[in-house]
Amino acid sequence: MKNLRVLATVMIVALAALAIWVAGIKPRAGGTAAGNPDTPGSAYDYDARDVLVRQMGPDGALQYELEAKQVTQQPGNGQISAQDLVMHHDPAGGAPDGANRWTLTASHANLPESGTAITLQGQVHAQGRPPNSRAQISVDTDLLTYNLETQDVSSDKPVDFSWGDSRFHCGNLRMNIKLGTLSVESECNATLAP
Amino acid sequence: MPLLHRDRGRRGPLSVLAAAGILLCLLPAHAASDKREAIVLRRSTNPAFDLNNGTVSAANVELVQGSTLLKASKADATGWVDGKYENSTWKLTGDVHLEFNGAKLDTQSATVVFADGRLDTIKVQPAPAQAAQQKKSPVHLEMKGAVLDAQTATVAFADGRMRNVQTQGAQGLPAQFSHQFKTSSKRVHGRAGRIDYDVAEDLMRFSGGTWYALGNTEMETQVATYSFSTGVFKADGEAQAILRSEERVPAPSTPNRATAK
Repeated sequence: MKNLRVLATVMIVALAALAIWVAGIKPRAGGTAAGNPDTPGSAYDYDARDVLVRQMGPDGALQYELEAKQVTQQPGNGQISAQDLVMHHDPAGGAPDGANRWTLTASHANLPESGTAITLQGQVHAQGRPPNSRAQISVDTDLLTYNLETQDVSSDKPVDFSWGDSRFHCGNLRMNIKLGTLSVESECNATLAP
Repeated sequence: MPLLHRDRGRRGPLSVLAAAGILLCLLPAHAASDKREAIVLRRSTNPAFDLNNGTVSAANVELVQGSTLLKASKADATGWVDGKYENSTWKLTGDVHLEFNGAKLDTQSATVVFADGRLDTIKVQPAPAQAAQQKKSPVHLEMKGAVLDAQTATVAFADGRMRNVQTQGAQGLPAQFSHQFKTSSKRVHGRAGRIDYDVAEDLMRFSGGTWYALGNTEMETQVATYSFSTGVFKADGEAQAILRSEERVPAPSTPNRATAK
């Protein structure tokens, strides 16, 4: 009777271990489209979940920090994509996590493997402070390109942006964070705060 | 001895209603300017911001603050700090149209200053070369049934409400004024080197080569005032009045039935 009890305990422990091991395996196969990693017939070079990426520049300084639910690399073109991401970027010369830090969130982003431009898609929100402004700039759009090197931020989609309490709705946006310039090549309407 | 000229007209119930209507129209404008309001940028094309220096440029601009309307082909604003227009200056150029406190101002170039979030001054002062090229007066102001054409104008505000208007003519081009008094059938005309409007006293002040006309009466003096509320024109100092006899229109003759077709 005692031997049977020991045997049952060993079997339960073995089954639990097997279950944990099976659950821990991530299939290498995955969909090319975001959010469908189990589609057979395509593969990622890698697939990481709940990741924190810290990209360093050539000088060893932190270029950007990215938290994402999923990061994948396509085997064909080497394109690295992130899903449900939050990105922090400290413009050159600024202290890490300093007052001029820019934070960007989006549903999807294509990250540069060698280049410096990040394309963010889906509920894109960018927020930060121009060098000589006490008020923050906040940008909401569906598609936005952020060049980490030149600090150019651009969108050809309709954009809602605010500077302090003033709010603007425009057809597109061109902004250079470093220079503190912002221009629009379309119609705009706005509510300007006193 | 001051020379007075009163525009005599009968005040009927319609004129009282009209006066009440004007008053009602002016009330929201005053109420709206009591507080610091956000400006609604109804329209603009290709705006460009310099966030570091607080400047904004845009084309086809249409701005509204309460009952105040600013329209221009181009606007260049300075003094935009941290996204606030609180103490900013707007240089408006090209087909400038401004509406404030029941007045309408049309010109080609104006500078609008906001102080503490409220409209502070509007200045219209075209460059001499620009003014010389313009065939019509650079400033065209309409308010309370009056029309004022001048070479330069400054509108000053207190707490967002119009306090006074100062207009000036140029050499050989005096500032011109006309007004339809509420109970009169005739329009008052006047011109002077300088014409100012005082809102509190509801009074026009003319100075320098003042000329005034109402119907067959003309008057020339240096300094004079005209009251919007009473229609009294008062010349201070020496004045020369000319009363022209009425030109009688001959009575129409009875048509000849024999020759009439």
